[in-house]
Formats: sequence, C-alpha cells, structure tokens
Amino acid sequence: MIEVNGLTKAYGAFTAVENIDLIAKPKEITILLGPNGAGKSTTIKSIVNLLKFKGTIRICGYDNRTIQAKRCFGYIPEAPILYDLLTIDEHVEFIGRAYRCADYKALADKYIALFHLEDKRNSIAKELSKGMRQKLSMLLALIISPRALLVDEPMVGLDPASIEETLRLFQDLKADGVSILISTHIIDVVEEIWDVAYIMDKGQIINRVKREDTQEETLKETFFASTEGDSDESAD
Amino acid sequence: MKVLISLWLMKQKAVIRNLFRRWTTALFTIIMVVIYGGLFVMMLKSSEKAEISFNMQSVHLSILLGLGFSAVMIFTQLLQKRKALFYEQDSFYLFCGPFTRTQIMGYLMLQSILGASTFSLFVLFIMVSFSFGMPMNLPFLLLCFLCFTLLYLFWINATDFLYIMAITNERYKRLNHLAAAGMIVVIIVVFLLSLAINHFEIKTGLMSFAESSLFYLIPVFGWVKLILISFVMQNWLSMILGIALLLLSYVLLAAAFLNFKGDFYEQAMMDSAALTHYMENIKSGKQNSFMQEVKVKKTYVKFMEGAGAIYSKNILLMKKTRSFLRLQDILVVMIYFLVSFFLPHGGFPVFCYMLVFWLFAMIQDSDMMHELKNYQIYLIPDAPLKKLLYVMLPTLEKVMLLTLLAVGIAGMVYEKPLLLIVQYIVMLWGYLLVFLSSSVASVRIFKSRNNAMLENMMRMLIMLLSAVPSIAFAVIYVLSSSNFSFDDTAVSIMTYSSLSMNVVISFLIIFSCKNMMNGRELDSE
Repeated sequence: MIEVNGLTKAYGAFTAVENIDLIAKPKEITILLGPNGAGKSTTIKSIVNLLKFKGTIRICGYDNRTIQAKRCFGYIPEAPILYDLLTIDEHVEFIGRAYRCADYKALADKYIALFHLEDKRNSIAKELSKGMRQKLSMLLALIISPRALLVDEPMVGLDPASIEETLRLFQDLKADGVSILISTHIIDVVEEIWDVAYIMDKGQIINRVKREDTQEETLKETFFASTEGDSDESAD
Repeated sequence: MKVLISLWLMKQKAVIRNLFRRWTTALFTIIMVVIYGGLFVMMLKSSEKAEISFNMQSVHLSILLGLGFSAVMIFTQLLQKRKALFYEQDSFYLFCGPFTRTQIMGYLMLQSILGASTFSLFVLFIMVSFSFGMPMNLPFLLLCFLCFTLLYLFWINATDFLYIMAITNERYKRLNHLAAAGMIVVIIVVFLLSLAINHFEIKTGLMSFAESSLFYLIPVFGWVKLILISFVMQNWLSMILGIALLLLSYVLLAAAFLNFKGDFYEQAMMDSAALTHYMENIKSGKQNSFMQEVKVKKTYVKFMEGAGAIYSKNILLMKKTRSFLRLQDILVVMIYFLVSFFLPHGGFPVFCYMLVFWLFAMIQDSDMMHELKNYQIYLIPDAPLKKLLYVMLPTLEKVMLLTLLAVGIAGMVYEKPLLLIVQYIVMLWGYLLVFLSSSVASVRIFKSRNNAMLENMMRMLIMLLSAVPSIAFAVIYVLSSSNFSFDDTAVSIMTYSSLSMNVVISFLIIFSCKNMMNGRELDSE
C-alpha cells in the first residue's frame, strides 16, 4: 500500500503540489491523471523519495525514507535509467544482488520471456531499441518482487502489442496483491484497467473517482468534466 | 545577420540569468568570480610594476607551457570523433530558418570568439601560475591574451572547416587526422633538427628546441611564440612579421570558411542532434565521456550483495572497458615524469607534486562523479554511508594503485631511498582522499544544478580548503619544534600526521554527505 498524507512540494516560490492525500491499495490499479504541469511527476518522485517534501508518505507501512520501504517498491521511470555497457543479464544480476532478492533469476527468466527479450540477454543496453530499453527498465523493477509498483508514463516507446502485454501484466500483478500507482496523461491506455483515479490540476487533487462509482461515464469524460476540458491534456 | 547577433547575445544573457535565478547559485557565482577574479587581479598587480626579466630561459619555458597546453587542447578537439557545428537547438533554427550560408558561418565564427577568449584566459592563468620565476607585466599579458585568443580562434574554425569538408565529401573524411599528423611531423622535424644541431644530446637538444628560432617554423604555434619572444626582446620587426603571419592565416581561413559552397546541412543537423543528446547523457550521468568510444570486452565479476553490488557493477564496467589502467593515464604520468626530468629545478619531489594535479584530473574524469548523480543508486535499499563508500571505492583503488606505481617507478629511476618513496606515496594518498571527499561535497552542495564550470571551480575551492588543516598542522609542527630540522624523522612525522589529518577531514566530509545517497538531498529546490 502507498499512503500519501498532506504532501506539499515547493520549488522556491513555486508550489508544485499542495496538500496531496492519496492511497494506492493492494489489488488495485490507481491512476494519477492530470494535464501537463499538474504535479504528477513531482508526486511520484516524492513518493520514491527523490525529492524533499512536507507531509508523510508510507510505502507498505514504512516511512518512504527507510530501507524497508525501498526494499518493497519498484519504480519504472518515464525515461529508463540503464548502464549502456551492461547486458540485460548483468543489469538483472546487479539489481537482484543489490536488493538481496533470493529468486530474482527465476523471475527474470519469466519476465524476459514475457517481454520477448530472450535473444537479447547478452546485448548491451545501448544496442537495445527504445521499446526494449523500456521493457528492461520494467523488468528491473519487477524482479525485486515489489509489493508496490510506481509507474511514470509506462507506455512511452512501446508498440501496440507490447502495450497490451504490459496492461495484462499490470492486471496480473494486481491479482497477486501488488499496489500499483500509474501516472499518465494518456487516458485511453488505462481506460480498461483502472480501479481508482486521482485527477490532478495545478498541484492539487481535484477529483477522486472509483470505477464502481462511475455509471456509463468513461474515465476520459470524468477527466474532462473535472478539468473543464483543460487544453493541455493530450487525451488521445 | 543582426538577428543572429541578437540571438547570440540573448543566449549569453540567458546563461547569466540562469546563474542568478536562485539566490544560492547567484551567491556561489559571485563568490567564485570574486575569488578567481581577485586571484587574477592580484597576479596582475604583483607583476604590474615588474620589468620583464631577461632570463630568456624562463620566458621561453613560460610561453612553451602555454603553447603546450594549447596544443593538447587543440589536438584533442581536432581528433575528436564526435563533432558538430552547433547544438541541436541552434542547428534546427539556423538550418531551417531564413539565413544564408554566409550568415550561418558568420554566426559560427562569432560564437567561437567567446570560447577562444575563455580558453585564452585559462592559458594565461596557467602561464602566470607556473611562470618559472618570470615576472610578467600588463602589456605582455594582454599580448599573450590576444595571441592565444587568435590561436584558438584559428584552430576552432579550422576544425569546423575540416569537419564540413569531411561531411561534404567522403574523400576528406580523414582530413582532420592528416592536419594533426602534419603538425606533429613538423614538430618532430623541428625537434630532430634541434637535436642534430646539438649532436643528439637530448637535454641540450630539448632546450634548443624550446629556445631556437627553428621553433618559429611550426605554423601558427611558432608564430605566436615569435610574436611574444619578439615583444620581450623588443624586436618590433619580428613581432610585426609574426602578427602578420598569424592574421593572414586567419583571414585566409575565414575567407574559405565564409565562402564554402558544399552541401552539408543534413549531416550537420544529424551530428548536432547526436552531440546534444550525448552531452545531455554525460550531464545527467548516464554515460561518461569516453565510454561510447571504447570496445566492450566480455568479462565477468561475482556480484556482492546490497550496496556492495554497486562496487561489483563498477568493477565490471571498468573490466569491460579496460578502464582500470588506461593508456591515456599512463601517458599523462609519463609526460609529467619527462617534464620533471628536464625542468631546471625538477626531480623526484617536483614529479610527485605534479601528480597532485593529475590526481585532481583523474577524479574529474572518473565514473564516481556520474554515479553520485544516478538515482538508481539512491533507490537501492541499503545504508547511505555504505552506498557512498562503495561508489567511491573503485576510483579510490584505481588511483591509489596508479599513484603507487607512478611514484614507485619514478622513485627507483631517481634512485631515491625506499622510505622517501613511501612517504611521497602516503602523502599523495592523503591528498587523494581529500580530493575524493571534496568532490562528493561539491556534488552535495550543488545538488542537481547543472553548471559544470561553476561546479569545477567550487570543487577546486573545497579541495584547497580541505587541505588547509593538514598544511596548518604541518606549519604549527615546524614552528613549535625547537631546533627543527628537515631530517627523516621530521619528514616522517609531518607526512603521517598530515595523512591522519587528511583521513579525518575526508571521513568527516563523507559522513556529513552520506544522506545524499538517498537522493532527496540532491535535487535542487
């Protein structure tokens, strides 16, 4: 579970997010939606403890600054952070050993097969395509068996088939009890899988929607109703 | 052209505005400018009244130092594989916008002026700092500044010209190598001539190479020396000849450059984009400056657990790129050794003190600096102090080993006693620790602000400040000891006490910075 209470982050005089409360529960896919500059990335980066902030954030019951919290969440950034000269297998070994995971090799085999990266295992990262790099980044977040998964714009660089596979994967993880928090501004992609959505605008949460509470209304319609059709949104 | 000039001015204004956007960066900028500007003014003041000494050997050596440094910079740029005329943004607007080719070339030449004069100031700083006892007056320094600016301007534009020729016509692909090889051949020929004149006596041949008129045969570099030496000797005719040669070569190059007719836009734009992304990656710590160019070797390490995996990963990268012991590092040490060998008051201690500069440069170029800014490391669930130490360890081991080898071998060549060699090794290790921890501190202080120049200046300042306590301790020890004499025991006490001090300071700095490895302390607010 990811619990955010009273999160405020300011950059000098500019307040990027203000007094955010948010919960991403296990067995749920929680979506963070908002136009460009709404504060989604700031929220995600604060949760993974890359920014100083006011408020409290707990991951799996631990303060997000603790080693225990770090051990239980996986983070998939929008732009993959990889070592250009390490192979896929070497990345796996690095992360698996750094996180002291017992069964990372078996999990890596499973996800490598799922992402169709078998014949690239010994390729160095700089030789991989943009989509493959994104898949490797996901793989590294998943081999630590995370109980919470934070994903920033997950589908960037993926082809349609890979997007479908990734969505299925998120649903499988959800079924396994993982809390998933996805930040995105591409609503169509998450339309089929979301359970709870937080709609952000100008650094604040302006609406919290549960799938069962929406009648016939799509997430896109809810979003535009909440933001009054903010023109920055690329709701493709 | 007016539009392009105003674009250039606007960009410079934006750089300055960015430095003053936050009060912390503004304060650091002002402090740095005051400190370095003050140092420079002090140097000028002290030499203002000085007459130029007629110890011509010092004059030749000072000018050669500036030229040698410039040659290294110029050759590095000339042989660089990754080349572009502009960064991506400039290339997009210039090549797609309503500008003629001459205007674009003119803009390119205009923006080289700032780079050339900055390089020139840096060379001046080096020349004044290591002036071999030669006092320099203001007119001489101004002339040096102009000459070195013109020298850099010539080579920056020549490199650009060779590049556009290479991308326009496949036949000219290796033109830059040919130009560099040509210059090296001329230098070797002049050197061999100097040797031959001196009956192949290496030391006198080298001095003759540095001092004789044969040096003026080396294009551009030789002419700069001709101008400066003629100025000191008040040989105005030779000076005018040197100026005329230098100006004429630049005018010819500028004419060829401005009137270039080839079709190079497409490749130039692609190279600009590639270079921009490459530089962005370096800035963000995703790759270092040399990794892209090396062959990757298949190798293996056994990964340690937790924070130790960072160490294993870095050792693996070093093994893959064979960067633990690089040829370029060995070459630099060899050059230092040769300089210390041939310097009038050189020798083993001078070599060891020169290695202090090498240590500084090694840390700048190490993977550690990139790793300190890599947030994948921050996410690893282990104690921040352990993560920081494991990030530092590969660089520490590598540089310690290289220092051991360099000082050990040099000590044997100079036939120095073992104890003295050990003392110098220990002293350099002490400095290495301070330099490493100061680099960590500078990353911690500057957080994610991206201004490499300011960061480097700050790093140098922290390093100097960190070294102050051990120097002060040594001074206090000398002053407080009655009947002090530089015997072996005294030197040993000073070396080891200074090392202990450096170790203590380094660990204090590292301990106070440990939390940066959690990441949140590093993103600037």
